[in-house]
Amino acid sequence: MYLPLAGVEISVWLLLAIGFCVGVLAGFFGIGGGFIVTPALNIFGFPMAYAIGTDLSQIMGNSIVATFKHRKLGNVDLRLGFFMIIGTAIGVEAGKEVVLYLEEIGAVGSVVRAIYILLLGGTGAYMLFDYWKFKKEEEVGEEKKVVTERVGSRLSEMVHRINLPPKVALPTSKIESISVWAILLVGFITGFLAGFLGVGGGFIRMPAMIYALGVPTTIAIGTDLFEIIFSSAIGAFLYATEGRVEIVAAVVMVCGSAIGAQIGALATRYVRGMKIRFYFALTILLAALSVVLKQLAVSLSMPVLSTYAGYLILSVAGLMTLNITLSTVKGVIEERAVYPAVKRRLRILLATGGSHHALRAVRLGARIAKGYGAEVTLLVVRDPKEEIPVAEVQRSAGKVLKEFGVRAELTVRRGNPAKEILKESKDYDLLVIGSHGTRSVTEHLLGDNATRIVENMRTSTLVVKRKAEVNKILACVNLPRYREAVVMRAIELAKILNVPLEFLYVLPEPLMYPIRRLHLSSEEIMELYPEKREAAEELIEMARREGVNASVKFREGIPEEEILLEKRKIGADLVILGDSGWRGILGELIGSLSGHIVKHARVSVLVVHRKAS
Amino acid sequence: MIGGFLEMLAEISGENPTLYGIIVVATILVEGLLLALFMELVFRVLGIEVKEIPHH
Repeated sequence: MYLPLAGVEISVWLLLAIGFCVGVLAGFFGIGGGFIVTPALNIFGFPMAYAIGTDLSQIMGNSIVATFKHRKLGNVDLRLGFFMIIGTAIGVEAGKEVVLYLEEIGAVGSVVRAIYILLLGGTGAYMLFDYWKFKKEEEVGEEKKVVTERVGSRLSEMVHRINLPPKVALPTSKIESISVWAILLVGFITGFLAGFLGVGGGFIRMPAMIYALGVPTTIAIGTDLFEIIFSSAIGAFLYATEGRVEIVAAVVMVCGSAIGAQIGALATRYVRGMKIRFYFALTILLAALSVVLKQLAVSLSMPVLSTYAGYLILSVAGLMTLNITLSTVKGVIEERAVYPAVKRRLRILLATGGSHHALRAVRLGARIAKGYGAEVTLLVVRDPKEEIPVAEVQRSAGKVLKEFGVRAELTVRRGNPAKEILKESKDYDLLVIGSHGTRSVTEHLLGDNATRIVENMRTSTLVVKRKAEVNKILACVNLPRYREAVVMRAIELAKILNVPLEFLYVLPEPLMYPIRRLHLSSEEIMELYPEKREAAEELIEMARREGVNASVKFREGIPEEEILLEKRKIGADLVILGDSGWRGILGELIGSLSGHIVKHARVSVLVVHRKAS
Repeated sequence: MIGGFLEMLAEISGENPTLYGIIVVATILVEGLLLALFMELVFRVLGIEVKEIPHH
């Protein structure tokens, strides 16, 4: 294909391949990929100005596709993105002014290149050191291996302590409160460096968000891509008005990068935070090496070194693309093999404070997570009233998780345990907590932490009590609104734990007989109501299809009492029921069925939240 | 035909650079959005689509 503006003849397949590579890297690292595409196009004959202009247009399209995907994955913090854009825009302008000044005094080329090398090399080396430190910690405590990302750093803690109003909460980034000025400052610094170096700045912003703001890696990637859409659109427009954009080449490359971006973004689900940082560090260190080669080409007057630099960066891009693509394919295959019925990975939050009952919860949670092939986060809440050794908790929980071959991310929060767990759990499909049961009179009257969590929960919650082992499950299918969700969860868990299951249907007394209880047996109830027998047979058949041995029991009476009686009678170790709770003042006065069962049952209870249905 | 179209774009970029700038940004924006939606569809058909997981 001949491109008249740049005066270049280039293969469409080659453009698609370049687009694909940069798409994978952009989706995976949250960068624009300018440091790869520009030299690639330059090597294949594009004059430098056309290579940059076409690259910026390609980056814009690529970022739109990748941001769309990351948004779906919940990786884009729009609030953070908007503040960063403001800071970045001011920073870019300031950076440009400094470059113009250096140009006046004739020192721009060497200074920019030196800072570029320092920045790429420094960031890469620091991230590599961080990864090495993390791996070393793993060796000290083998059990820690299960924890795959450390969110936050000393720097981010300092930034969070800046108490300058106005402050904002960034729930997507799990930042409770941060000064707007801190975000603007980080945006300004990264924007300044981008403007100074004449690059998009994705490779500076992504680590800056991780280390300076304490944003989790995947959120930093998604938010960075969101910001790149705007910066690259402005760049593309400016270059196009100078006639330096080969629009057809850009359109073709975006097609390739659209496919690549999907794979790259999807890979962030399978490659965990610290590993992404490791790959990123490696890539930018090699990019720094290529800039060194370019500098040497100028200093030593050896143009061949510049060509080597281009090939080096292309090889890095190619190999990294291959690695990421293979990781995605492997991840998808493994996920499907573990639990084919689940279309996406479940997210399980294991809350622990290090006590025995919390560790029991981790054990049962890990067993369930393994069965589902779920993504697991270990939450440690530090109660200011009683300091707990986080490292010790992490080690003991890690040991349990390792037994089941489950990997987890670690999140540490400080504050009231019940409040922090409730706040953290709303983004998860299942919360697993331990409970020692009611010990004091106050707890008996008002309920312990577990009861408080269940009565205010925003996600399905499993409260693990005396033992982590489950030999029989009792699922209560009273509430029509939750029936389907309870039935599905009960069958899934019975399958995972390989235990028999009993469905219990309690007919409230007034429905049976307005004055007194008839004391009908389950069989008699089914004879009285043929449609109930049909429903029961259907449930048994559903469970049988999944290889689960199930039975159905009908009882009449007050649900709270009948559930506890049936549980005792059949020796069930796990009770599953829907969240029937009232919220607010009404909830405080009336209480809830689920809250009552959690408080009074001595076995584990899973309360299926309304959102699951 | 494609050659003629490319020549026409080259002409626009010479005669009216601002219009060319707008064409470039608008084309890439629309292409990006359409491709994002199309890829969603493809992945959904392949059965490897994921719903929102608000955050890792």
